[in-house]
Amino acid sequence: MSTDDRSSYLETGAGDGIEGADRIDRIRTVLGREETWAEPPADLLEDILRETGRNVTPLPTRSPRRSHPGMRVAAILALVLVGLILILGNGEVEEEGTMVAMEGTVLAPAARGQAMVRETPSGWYIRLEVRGLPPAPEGSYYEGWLWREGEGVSIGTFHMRSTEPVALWAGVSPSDYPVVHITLQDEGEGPAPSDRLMMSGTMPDG
Amino acid sequence: MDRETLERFRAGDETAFKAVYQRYGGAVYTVALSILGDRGLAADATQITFVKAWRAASTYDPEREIAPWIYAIARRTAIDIYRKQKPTAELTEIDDATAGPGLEDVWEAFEVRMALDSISDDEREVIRLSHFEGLSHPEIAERLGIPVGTVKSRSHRAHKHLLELLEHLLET
Repeated sequence: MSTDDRSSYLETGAGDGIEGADRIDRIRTVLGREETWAEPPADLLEDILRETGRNVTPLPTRSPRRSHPGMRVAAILALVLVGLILILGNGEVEEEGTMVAMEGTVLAPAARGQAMVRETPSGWYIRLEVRGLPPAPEGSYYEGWLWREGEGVSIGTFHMRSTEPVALWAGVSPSDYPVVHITLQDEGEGPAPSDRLMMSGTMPDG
Repeated sequence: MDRETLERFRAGDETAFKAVYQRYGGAVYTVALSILGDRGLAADATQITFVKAWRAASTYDPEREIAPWIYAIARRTAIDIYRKQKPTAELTEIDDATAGPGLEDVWEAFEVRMALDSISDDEREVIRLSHFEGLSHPEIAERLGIPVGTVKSRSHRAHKHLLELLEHLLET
């Protein structure tokens, strides 16, 4: 069976005993569909660049590593300080709260961001904004925790399949549970935290 | 797409990101439109797909092909939008599509669109006029203002070229 025979069949649909004819027919069907030829809006790339430029700083390539605990604390404090300066400095922040710098672990070395923690009459609202944390794989999800030594309280689950900030809620005080953890959980494995810690951050006074 | 561009994409280079969009933007839009059936929603899905890709670029492994990586983000994004937009009664349809023939259709559409975006504009147009608009060779000749003989040779070359790019679909 020559390539010419098959391409001729693709072109005309005529021919007997063409190897892979059913597959070629499927391609012909796709070629007749509107969506195959539809073009995205001409200004879509500009919109994308505008959004990424406004909200996202390109992430530097990082290799998996464990930082020295002292350096890690210093980095967290520095990021917290920057967050506080940004909040207090421009006066345009919609929601005020305590900023917690979040850093990826060796399982998610490119992930980083911040959690804004604010007390409300019904509990502590935690808005998580992270970059570089990929969507949770099929059959799994992320879970947030407020943590203290040996004990964690779930603050909600999410999958990171959206670009929006994640809203989490806590019924315990972050001053008692000063560490924010993000774990990767498998569906059907029960409510206990897994050992796959993806991100972590500590309250400034924690 | 060359390795250097993919390395720069991973490092957050905007020019490389634009190149990735130029190469895969049409195919992602095709995937989104195939799933959502609405141009506005498909544009939203395409935008979100590339924002996600930009944000996750540092997790991409340049040793691996980028097309399946982009496709996975696009399909997931479009399905998420579909679920938000459609009544619950229709969810079964798309849930099944994630593991059934529907998924294969969308993947084929992505592959065909990528192949079409790889051939010359002349070849692409003659295939479009033939399969999408259903024109005969004489009609295409009249539309393009070129001899019928030129249409025939161009069409033959275009289909051969396209099939070479889609050879892997024939083997599955």
